[in-house]
Amino acid sequence: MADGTVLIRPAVRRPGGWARLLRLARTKPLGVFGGVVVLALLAVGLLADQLAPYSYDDFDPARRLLPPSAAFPFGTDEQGRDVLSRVIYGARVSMIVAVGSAVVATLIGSAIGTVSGYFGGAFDLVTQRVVDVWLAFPGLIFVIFLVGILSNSFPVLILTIGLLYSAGSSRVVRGAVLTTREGLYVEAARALGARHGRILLRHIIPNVMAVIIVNASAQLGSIILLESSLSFLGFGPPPPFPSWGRMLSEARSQMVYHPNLMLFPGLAVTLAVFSFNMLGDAIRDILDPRLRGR
Amino acid sequence: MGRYLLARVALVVPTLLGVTLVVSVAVRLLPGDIIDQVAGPDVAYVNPETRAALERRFALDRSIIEQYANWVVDLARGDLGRSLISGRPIASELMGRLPATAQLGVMGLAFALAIALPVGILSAVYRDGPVDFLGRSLAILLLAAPSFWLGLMAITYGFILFGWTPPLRYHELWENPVANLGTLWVPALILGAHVSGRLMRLTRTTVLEVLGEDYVRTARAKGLRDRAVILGHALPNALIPVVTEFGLQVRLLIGGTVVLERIFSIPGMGNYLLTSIQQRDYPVVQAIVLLTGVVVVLSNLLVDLVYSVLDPRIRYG
Repeated sequence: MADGTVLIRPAVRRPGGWARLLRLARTKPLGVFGGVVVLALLAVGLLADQLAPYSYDDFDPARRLLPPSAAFPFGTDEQGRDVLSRVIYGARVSMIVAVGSAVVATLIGSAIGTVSGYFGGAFDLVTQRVVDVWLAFPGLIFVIFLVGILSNSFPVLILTIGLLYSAGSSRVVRGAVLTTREGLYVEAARALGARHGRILLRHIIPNVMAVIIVNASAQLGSIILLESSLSFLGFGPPPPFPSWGRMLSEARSQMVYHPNLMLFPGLAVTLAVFSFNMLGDAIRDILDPRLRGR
Repeated sequence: MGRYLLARVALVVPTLLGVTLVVSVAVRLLPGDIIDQVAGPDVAYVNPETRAALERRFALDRSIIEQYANWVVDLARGDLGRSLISGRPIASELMGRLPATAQLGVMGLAFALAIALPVGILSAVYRDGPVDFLGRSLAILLLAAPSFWLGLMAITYGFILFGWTPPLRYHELWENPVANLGTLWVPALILGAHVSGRLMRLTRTTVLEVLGEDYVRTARAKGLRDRAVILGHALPNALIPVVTEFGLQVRLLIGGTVVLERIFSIPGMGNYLLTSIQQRDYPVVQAIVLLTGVVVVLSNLLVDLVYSVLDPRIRYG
């Protein structure tokens, strides 16, 4: 029936790329805003060397604690370094940690969650108990320990944060799989004699994909927050890389007299997280078939 | 269901043993021990006999596994041990700090729910309208701003604009309720704001999802009013994922208290944990992680149970 209607349907031109983008901008202004800022942040992180007016490590005691001006739009910090340049380089640090960790968390978490939710039984019980241990561990402390024991290098940070978030991902994915596997179409596929691999690939994974992507995009923002807290407490990426969290921690001693030192890095974190979350929301609305076209 | 419940409860103890084992090993792998931390740069002048005597006294000369085993045996007898720094029983050290953290968490949670549920539901019902736009912007702004930054900004601008500074001395709730709430309401609001951002988003998306389901369409077709459809049919189902997420929120809440306690100088568990890690006060770190582990494991257990009651499609076999 459905196939028959396709044959007699007149050739309707579907709206092209630009028209669709325009429509998206009208229906999801915040999502598009988020997407634009995320792209901009990635570009800023990538092109920091070209964009930043000064080096992030340009000490100059003669120009310490200057208020914002034309030469130093965000002012200078206690050591006379340009705050704008440091905020720009901070984007690079944030993006590397956020994207890297989210990829690690999504790969590990989805694999565990799918298998655990679909097969259930002993495997589910055992992995979920390991996940319980993981989840019962205070997240910040987990990273502080591993960074303290190993090093605060980028690979350690990314793998540690990725591992930390994979536990939560696996729970969320498992929950979605638990509901999906009870679906009538899964039962039908099983009745038709489909093997587990086919059911997983054709029915379960496509149906939980939205959950996986939404979860990953929500994690990006939260990872940026975690990275800034870690840096604030002194466990972030190593100096001399300027991270927004460490800038905030350095600004603390001056905060009452020079609140601008605290304002800009904080706004940068907020803007980054806001944009990632807005983009994530829009992606969710678009991806979830139950929300599509409404 | 009964068997599943029993199995879960039986697993609480092994889970906690796993958590504490990981933390005991990890904290001892951190470079330096309590002697190094207390002596600081003078550690080079500590003579070897003194160090050996101290190590014996703190049982640092035993293997990590032996130290852990002894700790578990003591724990089974209800003894958390003594702080290496203060020499006082850890149980009494914790009792003095637990109320502040618990109060901060509960107040934060109350703020979070009071903001998140109404705004999330309204946002979904009036999707893509001005209420939705404002609600989502608010939610995501709250979620986006780091709580330690909000805390610092509150202190900075509280002082600049109102001459307000967080009180230096902390008062217990029962000792001086006015001073206590005066100290705690700002960090609790910041903590709750962050958590409410997540809950609000989740409430919105799940309510939206449920509003597209057949039974909601049926309810509308029967001629039920919007209010009855949303509160009676959509909401109970929409809350299921919100409840699951709630278990994760408890962990967020605990993490949030660590940084906020530090910034607002609240003598709670989070502050104590950071200090104890710094000082390598191993048994105190273990005890605090055990306690937070208990809270998280029990809330996860509760979530799983509520989950199966709310959604009969989920069966635990």
